[in-house]
Amino acid sequence: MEERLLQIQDLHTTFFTREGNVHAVDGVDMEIGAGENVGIVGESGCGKSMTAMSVMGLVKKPGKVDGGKILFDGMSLTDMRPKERRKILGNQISMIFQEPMTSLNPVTTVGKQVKEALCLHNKGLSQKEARERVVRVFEMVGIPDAAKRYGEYPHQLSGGLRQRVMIAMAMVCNPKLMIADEPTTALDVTIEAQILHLMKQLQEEKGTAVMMITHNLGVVAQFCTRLYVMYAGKVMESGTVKEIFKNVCHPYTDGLMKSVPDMESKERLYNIRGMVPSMLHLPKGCRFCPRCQYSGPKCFEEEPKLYEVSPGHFVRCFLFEQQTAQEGEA
Amino acid sequence: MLKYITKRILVTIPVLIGVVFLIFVMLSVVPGDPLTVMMGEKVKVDVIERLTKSMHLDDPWYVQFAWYLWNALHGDFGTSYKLMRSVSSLIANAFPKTLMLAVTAAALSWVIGIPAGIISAVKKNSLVDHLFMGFALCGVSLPAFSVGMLLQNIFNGILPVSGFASPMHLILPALVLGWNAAGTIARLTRSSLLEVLEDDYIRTARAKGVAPLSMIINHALKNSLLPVITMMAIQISSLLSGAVITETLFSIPGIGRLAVDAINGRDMPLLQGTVIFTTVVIIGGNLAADILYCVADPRIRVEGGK
Repeated sequence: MEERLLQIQDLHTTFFTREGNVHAVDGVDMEIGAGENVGIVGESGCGKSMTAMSVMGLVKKPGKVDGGKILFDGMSLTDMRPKERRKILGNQISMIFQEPMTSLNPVTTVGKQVKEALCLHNKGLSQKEARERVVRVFEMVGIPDAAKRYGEYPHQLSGGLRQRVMIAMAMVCNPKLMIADEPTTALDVTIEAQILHLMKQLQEEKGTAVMMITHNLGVVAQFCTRLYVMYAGKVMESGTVKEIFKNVCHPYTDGLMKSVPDMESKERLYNIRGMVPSMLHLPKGCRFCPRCQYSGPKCFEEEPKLYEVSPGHFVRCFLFEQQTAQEGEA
Repeated sequence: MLKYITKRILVTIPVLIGVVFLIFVMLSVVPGDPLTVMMGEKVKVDVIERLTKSMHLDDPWYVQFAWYLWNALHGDFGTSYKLMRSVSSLIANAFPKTLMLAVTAAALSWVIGIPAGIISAVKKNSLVDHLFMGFALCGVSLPAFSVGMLLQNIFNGILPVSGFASPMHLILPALVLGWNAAGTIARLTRSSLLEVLEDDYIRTARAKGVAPLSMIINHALKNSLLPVITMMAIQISSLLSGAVITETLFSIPGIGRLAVDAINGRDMPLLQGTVIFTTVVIIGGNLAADILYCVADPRIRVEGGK
């Protein structure tokens, strides 16, 4: 890994609800190097989006980041004053959201919305310069007829174009880190391929690191170099994409891999049995054990740590406890 | 956009004719002979005959309606039985007073209602919020006559409580009407803003690093005021068509008072005139709301243009 850009250490994000405290993110450690593509995978509600929201400082009440550190480029985001933090948001860290249809303000032109992100962080820029730069970014993200589209409203654009606008907004300040929260989930497959291609191309050109949150392992295989698999607020497996795809260790990751449809196969599509547990009533011991086909008595009692099965490849499962001489959290 | 507005204006024409017809029919079937109302019990027969002829009273109702419509198109809504003056001049006389009251009350309600709604939304569930919403609830639920009489009692001797002689006379009635309108607006602004603040594009704005205040003003407010605009237009049109109770209570010779007098005196042409005037004002208010909405919300603009 190159220079560390983002370090998340023992992050806890908790929702204080009437029914009880929900630990949406429960002690997550994560690292993203400069210019690196990192995937975060997991089922809905596993805490992957909340991890991203915590980095952005966008966790809404009754949720709160109540433990751990987030270091960005050597600065601690968690200890920063809101005003200081806003200077980084949209500027050095930007985010693309899942819903391009609703993520843009319906009563403002798309050009203005992108321009706002630019002007907010570049106070000296004249209106004309800013406009020209936005149009250039529009061209860069492949919006046809960019100068005309600048003055259009979100409802006049298709979903794919809106997501391109979102990417333009995220890229306009040349951020060091871009967080993409399921950027293609709401789009159809051909547009998905285009958007991923665009992001990859921009990422290579500008050297932006990307945190790609997805539940689509195909996207990860195509796009990312490293991977974190999350389940019920914890990282279950992490390592390079190559290593994990070659040597799947955690039963959960294995289940996810098998759940990807195979066009050649005539067999019924595999699915992981059971349901994601309610975050209010997590099982004791390993969080995955009620759904795991390999679970033993120990799994129901104790929570496993992250075991390093090969350099840089960590697995949170007792099956790999003996295999590794080295123990401990990553 | 222009096409949309033209279409909306054209639609109002049949509505207007329909309303005039309904009012005409309703008032024609009301018992009571106009001549008795006008002249009293003891009138000479030839006078009755002459008036019956000149007022087309012996024609069938549809002929009378056609005459009424024809005259109305020329700005003649008949003559008041009681006051012996043309209905249009009576309305023209009363309207400025109602207008002044309505504008003062509306301005008051916007200046108070919108900021109160915004503050309540931003400081949701705080003491300020509860205080503002309590006041708003009182404004909405207390009837005008009780608030009016209460204010008259409290401010008796401090402010003029009756009549329409100086701007000072406007204060209390405008407060009564403005409080009610402000209550509605504050509650609507609050709920609408709270809803908008949950929207995805607000999250996008926050992710851009937009400061909270600028976010509310530049991103949330325009969206959240869309329903408020509609409400304001409806309110002002109902204020303009005369606040019957408030005007009566404070003896303001406006449209509302005129209508009450017309009812009490069974002054059919005058009543007809005031009701039609009210209708026109309300239709106009709704039209204005539609047009404003169209200006504020680009999504409607495009649909209308197609």
